Amino acid sequence: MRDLKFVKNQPSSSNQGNSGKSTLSALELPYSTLEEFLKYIERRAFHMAKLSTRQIDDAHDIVQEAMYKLIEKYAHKQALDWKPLFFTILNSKITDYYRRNSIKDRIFFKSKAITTEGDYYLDWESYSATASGTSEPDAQFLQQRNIHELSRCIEQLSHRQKQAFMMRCWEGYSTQETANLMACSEGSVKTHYSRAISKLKNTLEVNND
Amino acid sequence: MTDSSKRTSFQKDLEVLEKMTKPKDLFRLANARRMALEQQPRRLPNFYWILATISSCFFISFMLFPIESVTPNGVNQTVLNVEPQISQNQEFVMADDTDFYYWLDIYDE
Repeated sequence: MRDLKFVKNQPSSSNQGNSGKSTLSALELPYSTLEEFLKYIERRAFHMAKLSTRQIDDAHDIVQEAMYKLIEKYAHKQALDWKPLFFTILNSKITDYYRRNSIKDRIFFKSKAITTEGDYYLDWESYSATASGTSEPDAQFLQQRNIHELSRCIEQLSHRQKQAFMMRCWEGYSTQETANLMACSEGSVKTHYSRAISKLKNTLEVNND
Repeated sequence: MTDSSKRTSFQKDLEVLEKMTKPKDLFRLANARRMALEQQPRRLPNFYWILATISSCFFISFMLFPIESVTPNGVNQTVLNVEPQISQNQEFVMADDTDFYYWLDIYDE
């Protein structure tokens, strides 16, 4: 295994933004080695990939490829750079996945995955561990329903809207940082993000009515 | 509900989703992490296997059934291209080996 220990207190070359999480110094980061970083990021990356692909196996493949690429190419970089690099790789892998699928659809037949009603990621078993011992099954049920509906609505967004929403809302990146990650202008990020938010709001309101 | 409060509620829901990752997926993620850290060779995605299978099928079918171009009259172009070469070769042999056929003339007589 490579020597992946991060030397603390080194200034980062890519600490460009003045907002949000990018102002964190190396000492404030919740990880100091690549292994810790991957542990910290893997769940979120998996859910992002899953919401983009709607396929659990493909999501795992994408996350693994992104991890592999990060360590192969950027293990020497500083800890502050790992997260934006990882998300850039993850986004490009997801884009590749879309491209491959469109080619596959042209060669064979339309094979788009359809998420059915019963396709809950969070089933009752997932909740049983937390539900037992608490007196709030109703609240948990509502939360599960909200999460399920939100996931379904995110899946219906376009690829770029999903990217903008997940980077801005979930990761808390600024517009500038998101634009760098998505390799587009800040104006495009603003457009994608606002459309994503309004679509989600509208869809969820309709569902709740 | 304002945009910022909506955004906060989305954020909370997504964080819960993250926390509720199934043990089976956590195990797979841990395995992927370990493989990435050790830089073990990865399994090729299914897409590449499909592509490789299709291209090898094309290659085999090309080897077994070579493409024969046919003219609008239905004549095989490959045969047309070969025939002049054969006749030229025959003439060359005939002209060159006249002595060889001499015994035939004697026999006929």
